[in-house]
Amino acid sequence: MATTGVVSGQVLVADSNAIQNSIPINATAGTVTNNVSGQTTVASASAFSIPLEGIVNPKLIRIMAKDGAGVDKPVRVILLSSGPSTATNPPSHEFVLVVSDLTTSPITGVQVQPLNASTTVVDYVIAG
Amino acid sequence: MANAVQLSGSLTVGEGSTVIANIIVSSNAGAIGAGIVQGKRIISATTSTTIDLSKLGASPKVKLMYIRSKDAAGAKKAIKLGINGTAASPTLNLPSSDEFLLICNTTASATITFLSFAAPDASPTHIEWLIAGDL
Repeated sequence: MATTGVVSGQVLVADSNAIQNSIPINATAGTVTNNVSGQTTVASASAFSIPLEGIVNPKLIRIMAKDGAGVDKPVRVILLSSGPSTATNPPSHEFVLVVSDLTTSPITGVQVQPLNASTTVVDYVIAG
Repeated sequence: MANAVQLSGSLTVGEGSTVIANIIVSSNAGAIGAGIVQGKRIISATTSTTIDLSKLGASPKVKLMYIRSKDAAGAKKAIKLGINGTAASPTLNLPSSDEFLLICNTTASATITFLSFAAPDASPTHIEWLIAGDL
């Protein structure tokens, strides 16, 4: 899917009494021209690539992973760029990354690696 | 510094009034039991500098990282950010940028223990960070 838009919103870090920090996302990511979203189901522990479909500078990446029963299941998200890639980063069942307009060495690929071969359902949104 | 901190909010990818993707952050990150590490630093070298996360404990489960950098005049200045999961080398390969927001739910057995960043040149780079997570 190709579109022109923006990544916007805000993240609040707060306790029960007051907002401690507000992070405006529209100042972080700004304009995007393409995005892809979808779902992939695998039954393998091998890393697989999410198709970027022409996105050359991802500014927002969101990965959510669950098992076949819909329970949160950690996976490793591997970001490829001009630097070294590695599959040892901490597993997480939910992963959101936003980087700004001023980006060098952009991400060139996004891979997801399940921790085992049981069913993993991965939902993804990538905009850039 | 208050405990029982909560992350909330939303990110939207949209075009005009058409919402392409809406990401509810509260479902991603949820409650933070340990608290927040905030700080700022001015560096004038290209050597790698480490952010101390010891306030979040020996094995913190980082749920949110927000880092931004500017030059001495306040203009955006991209830095290289390294996230260390288990060893001295960065394990999450991020692009250089002047602003990073990362939300994740790391497990207790594979935690983010510290962050490092490097400036592209030796002119002053002002870096601010906010890290939130569980013990």
